[in-house]
Amino acid sequence: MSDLNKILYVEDQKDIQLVAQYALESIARFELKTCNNGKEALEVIHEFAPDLILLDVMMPVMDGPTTLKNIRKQDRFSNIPIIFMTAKVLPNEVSELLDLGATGVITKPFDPVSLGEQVRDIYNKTR
Amino acid sequence: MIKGNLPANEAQRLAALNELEILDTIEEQAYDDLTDLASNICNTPVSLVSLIDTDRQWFKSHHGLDARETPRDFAFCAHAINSDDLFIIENADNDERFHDNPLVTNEPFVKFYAGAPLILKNNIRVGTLCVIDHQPRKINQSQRNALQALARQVVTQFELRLQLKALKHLDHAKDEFLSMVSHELRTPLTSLIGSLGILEHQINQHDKEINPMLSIAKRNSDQLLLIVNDILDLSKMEAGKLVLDLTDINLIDLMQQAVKLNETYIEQCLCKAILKQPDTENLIVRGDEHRVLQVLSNLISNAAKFSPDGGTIKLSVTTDNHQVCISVSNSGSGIPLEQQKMLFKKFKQLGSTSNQKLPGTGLGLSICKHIIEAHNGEIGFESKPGEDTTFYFKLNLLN
Repeated sequence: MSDLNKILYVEDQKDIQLVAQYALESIARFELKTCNNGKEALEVIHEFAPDLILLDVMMPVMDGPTTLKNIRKQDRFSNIPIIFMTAKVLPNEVSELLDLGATGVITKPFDPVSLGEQVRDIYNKTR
Repeated sequence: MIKGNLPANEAQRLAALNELEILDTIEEQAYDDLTDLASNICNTPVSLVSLIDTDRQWFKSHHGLDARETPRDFAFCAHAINSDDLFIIENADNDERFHDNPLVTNEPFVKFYAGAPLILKNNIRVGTLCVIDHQPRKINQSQRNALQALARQVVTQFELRLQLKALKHLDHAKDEFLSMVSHELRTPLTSLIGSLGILEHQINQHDKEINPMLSIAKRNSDQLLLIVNDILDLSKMEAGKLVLDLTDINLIDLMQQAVKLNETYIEQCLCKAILKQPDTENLIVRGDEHRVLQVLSNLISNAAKFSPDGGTIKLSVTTDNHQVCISVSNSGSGIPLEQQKMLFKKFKQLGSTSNQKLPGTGLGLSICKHIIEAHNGEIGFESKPGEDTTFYFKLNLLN
């Protein structure tokens, strides 16, 4: 039985939130909590205790890279898998995100039917 | 000692000097060549490209002098920049402005000075090209003319420097634009493609017959994404930003992978693909696996697109000297001669897009050409009306 059950999903675009929510809850059967930006994510992370975090890059209030840095500062979440979801797809942009300490990068647009599987694949590689 | 007056446009002058981003940079051959020439022509031991900063004069080139800077208050050049003409001091000991100047009474013992101001646009004088001797003397008219001509060459170097800076800035701006466009187009496409994918999934769950309107919307939004990807890909390549991730590639494995990737598409086009095994097993090339796969995929999908129902796509490999040639052929009626010259051009598609099995973006072959040429390879085709069509590309073998 996989230990990947709870995902904290951080995304500011409402439409993309709804699509990903359906993909991850209804299709892939994860327990999902959605936040609109990094600041909100930091407020809920301890209580929700996710197994993995999906993080948009460009967000108001607190962007993805800053959020990742703040999450990793906390001992409890210093090694939590964090996957960036981004529309920035130039190779140097992707490798810059990985260099920041992300576990993986999923580019947008994503296929909602296979999103759960993509997330699981990246998660399993960390085990 | 009398210091050089501050020019009336001093603020503007310093701004122009700063824009050059030249102060405290390393020595450069182009400037050293000019001071060498000045020194030779005027027969002086010292020649300088001197730039007048707020409180100092700094030397971009310093022929015959070790120092890289001196205080502005002592600088002969600070006088020279107050005029467009040559500034000449034939005997510093006899000039009330300089006779007790530390540069005259001590090292480097400047007794003779001739400086041609370096004049940028808007009549801004940032410094001088000057020649210096340790004894009083004169220079003749020919030497004066040469000094002014060489000063103009120094200014040309400054202009080149500014142009290079502008090009780098433009390059950076293009990168930022590409990144921004990529993001801004992909963000709404994410919602569009995602929501249509979900609808399709939901309908598939309950109704095996997909609503044709939904199918149209999904297909066209996928097509839009392909176009966005291809445009961004091509923009990157045309801007010289294609970066190859080079590894050793087993070509046969890659060709098998390409066929597998296009299986569904080939079936949809009602044809089949055959890979003819070459005599040599290990065909290794040095290249970007992802990009070479992109080329193979494109050629296979094109072959499927233009193959008649029931047709066959043949992939084969041949070697010749140190090159490998990969060919993708499809049966059909060949490419009309007048359309052959449109191949590899951007946004040109053969035939009418309305009667194609599945429309493309019109950028595929252009992208393939960039990729293969980046690998120092060659791409081409053979097609005669009424005969099979073959697209091929050649790469250098590793073994």
